Amino acid sequence: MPLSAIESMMSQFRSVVSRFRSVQGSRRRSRSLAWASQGTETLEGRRMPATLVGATIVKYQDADGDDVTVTLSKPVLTTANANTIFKFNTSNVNGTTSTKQQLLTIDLTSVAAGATVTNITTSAVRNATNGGDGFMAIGQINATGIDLGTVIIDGDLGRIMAGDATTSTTGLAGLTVQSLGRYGTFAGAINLNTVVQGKLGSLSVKSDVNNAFINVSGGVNGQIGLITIDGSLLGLSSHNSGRIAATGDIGIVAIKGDIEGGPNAFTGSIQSGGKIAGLTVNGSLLGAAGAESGRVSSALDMGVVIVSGDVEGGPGAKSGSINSNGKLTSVKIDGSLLGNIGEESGRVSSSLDLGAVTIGGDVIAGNGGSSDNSGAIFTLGKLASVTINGRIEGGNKKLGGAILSSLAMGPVIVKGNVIGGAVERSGSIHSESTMGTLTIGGDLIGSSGLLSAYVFSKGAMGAVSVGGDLIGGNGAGSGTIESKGAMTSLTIGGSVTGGAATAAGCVAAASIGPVTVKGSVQGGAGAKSGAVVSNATMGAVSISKELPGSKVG
Amino acid sequence: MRSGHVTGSSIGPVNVSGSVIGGSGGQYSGSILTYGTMGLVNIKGSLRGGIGAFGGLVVADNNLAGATIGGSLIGGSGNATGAIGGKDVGAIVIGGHVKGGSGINSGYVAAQNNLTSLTIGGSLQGSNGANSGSVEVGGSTTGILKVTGNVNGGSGLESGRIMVNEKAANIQIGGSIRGGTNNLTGIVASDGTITSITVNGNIVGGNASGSQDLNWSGGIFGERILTLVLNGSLIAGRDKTTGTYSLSGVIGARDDIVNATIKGHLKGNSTNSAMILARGQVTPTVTTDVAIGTLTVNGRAEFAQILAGVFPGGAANQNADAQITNVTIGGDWISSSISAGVVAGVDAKYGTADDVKIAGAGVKDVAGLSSKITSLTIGGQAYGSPSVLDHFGIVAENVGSLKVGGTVMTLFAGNGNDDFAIGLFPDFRLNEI
Repeated sequence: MPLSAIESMMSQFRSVVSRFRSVQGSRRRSRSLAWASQGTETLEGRRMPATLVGATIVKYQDADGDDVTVTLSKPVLTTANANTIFKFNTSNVNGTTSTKQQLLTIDLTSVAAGATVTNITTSAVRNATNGGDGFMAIGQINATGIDLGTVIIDGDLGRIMAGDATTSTTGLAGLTVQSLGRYGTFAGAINLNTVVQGKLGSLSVKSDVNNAFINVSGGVNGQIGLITIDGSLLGLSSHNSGRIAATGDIGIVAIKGDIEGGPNAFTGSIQSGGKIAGLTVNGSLLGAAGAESGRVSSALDMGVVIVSGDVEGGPGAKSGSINSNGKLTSVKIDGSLLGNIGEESGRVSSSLDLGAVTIGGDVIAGNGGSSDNSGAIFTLGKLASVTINGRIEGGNKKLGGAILSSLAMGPVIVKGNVIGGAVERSGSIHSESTMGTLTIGGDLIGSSGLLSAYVFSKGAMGAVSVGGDLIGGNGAGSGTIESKGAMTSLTIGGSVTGGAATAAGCVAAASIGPVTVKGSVQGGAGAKSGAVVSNATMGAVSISKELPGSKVG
Repeated sequence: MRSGHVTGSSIGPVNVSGSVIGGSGGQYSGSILTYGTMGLVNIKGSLRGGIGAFGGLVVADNNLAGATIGGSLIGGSGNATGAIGGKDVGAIVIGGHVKGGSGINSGYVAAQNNLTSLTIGGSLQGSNGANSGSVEVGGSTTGILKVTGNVNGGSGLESGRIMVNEKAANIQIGGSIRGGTNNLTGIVASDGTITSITVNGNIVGGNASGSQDLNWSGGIFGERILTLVLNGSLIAGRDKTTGTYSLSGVIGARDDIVNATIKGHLKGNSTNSAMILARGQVTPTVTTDVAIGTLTVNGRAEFAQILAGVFPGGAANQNADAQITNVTIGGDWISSSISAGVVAGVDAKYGTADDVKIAGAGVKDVAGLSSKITSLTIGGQAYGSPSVLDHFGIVAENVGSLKVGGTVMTLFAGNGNDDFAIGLFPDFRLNEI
């Protein structure tokens, strides 16, 4: 028997596998947090700390040996206030730079008036003798009630508070850091909540935003200009960690890594109370267990959105999603749009018109949990066009893997299959108005869900082309294309095969132009299944194979 | 028994307009079998296994010219159901998924000798059957082995797996490789050279909890890996089990990795590291024994280990002379280690005083050769962690150059003469042994 081939193969592979099996693992131990006390104890008893160079400059040696210079653009420093403004983990500002110190805080509140629109710049240079890494870290900058100029930190910043109560003036002209929150609270920040009242002119992070929360307030004045993050926006910790929020508009956002949510709400997210000019994410937008984690949303219009990786929902509701409550210019996702068990997870949506949507991979609904509307594209306005290079696959919750528009939908191209799921309208394409051309490269496959893998246009529909088969399922209307208006033409590359339920596996329209079916049109067990139906005229009909137990006309 | 089957001493081309479906009863139902050769097989629908063993099966005991399955290859609950194979196998094209079932070798593509090429339009999905949702090649693959979607391990041993016994010319994974919940799941492996492999998504290790054992889940393994491009990240699984857990989220070569580019991150976690392993050359030169040639990671390395000179399998896979040529990390280096020809010592922590050159019977250690990290460039910050319980290092007999965030760390020439801490916390050190 040919079984011998399989048995022989299995034997061979077991021997291969056995060579890999001798596993060396590395098991990590439990962790505790003791850096701060360790550093302080090491340095106690020494009295050779930072130097006040002048009214604008303080120099010190940081915790790993770098020579650090802090420069203020305004001459506010004096011997009397230097130790109020600069707080270190050990000792103070009194003459030399021989001791390793961690700068915990720069606090300008004591010189509020004189510090207005001050620029703060730090630089760190590795010391040939003492060592260092060319970066410094600072816990926090407190300029509460003070509008600041530009702040440039040559290392990590835990948080900054800036901006006076007059929000029409810029709260912080610009913030440039190597990282934000990378060291958590170990560098001296009480928490990682950056608060700016009034506009934040720009935010530039050379590596990651790690669990920090940037909160810009001031109504429409609470804006953020250009945001560039060369690493990732990571929200892997508490509520709001890795979140950028503005009550006003947000400019162009460019993130070279990922936006990654975590276990709590709003983690790894960007929210604008106004518009977002545009978003580019070179990595992925990843939701997680937190509600609205891994989410980008705007109260008003959103510009062009490009995600080079996936948009992937998590267990949290609305996680891994892009939402505009206004218009959304266009969305291009080079990877896949993937739902999860969270409701509306892995979703692109807009309240007004949605421009061209291009998905390089698949659109796949989540399964189980509360995964309704997951892995979906949804707009209450027009939908200019949809191109999906992979497949659409519905899940077992309502409207999973669905594309819906309340107004006209432009041309739709799905290069792979459209596969329904186990519940209503899963894996469906639905326009409450007209629909442009519909091109499905693979099959349209209904499943057990009512109207699963169901394409519907309330108005006219352009030319319809299905490269493979149109197959009804066990759900009524599954694997079906229906237009309440005229359908320009119909071309089925394979067969039309009815399913077990009513109108499963059929094409219906108010009128249909020329009909070409290169395979068969075959009825199923369900009434009106395996059918091509026009309520008025139908153009020339060409069926290359059989027409058993089916209805055409 | 054997209902709805086609057999012959040899079979010419086979065309099936619909699907080939295994039945619910006896063995070999819904099958096409031959003791000899089989011509090109064209199944417009799917090849689907059922309850009975060897159902939904296309197998030639000799060569299979090739096959096109318009739909999916779906395993059933019977063993070797939803399967296709032969001795030397031509081009196989499967329009949909390859999905395992609960049967052993269900959802299974196999070539006893060589496989010309394989295209899976969907994903390769393991299930609870051992070796379910898998591809096994006893010889080499000469053309492209492509999975358009993901390679997902299942709960069955060795499920969701691609194994090529000899050379693999060109492997392309359109989605991600994800480890499952059993050993040897969600992996792409070759016992020979992988000339080129591209993964558009991530490589993700499996997670384990309770007392479950989980080893070798989510990874790429080869004897040699010449070119690897991972467009996503290498992500370690989470070890929450009291059982054995290892190698979940790994790229490894028993000999060497010549050129690897990871466009995302090396992302481990506090329970398990994302690992890149390679032993070194079979035949080193007088002065070089490169285990890892060029490794470029565009993102960050967090809880990652890049280890040269070690590969599972005992002393024969240990190499005291292993070298790393050029590693570039675009982002931050966080709680991560890189070593060449070194073991972490009794404390199992890199960068500490007890780090020591690999030694022992059977370990490769050629006189005159030294372990070396020629160049390490970290674009962002570099540091260990706030914990006093862990430690991280850059460890080899010789480190040629180190640059962190644009700052060049001046190093002494020669072996064993550089030892200093890097970063805010004191638990990350460059340590030449």
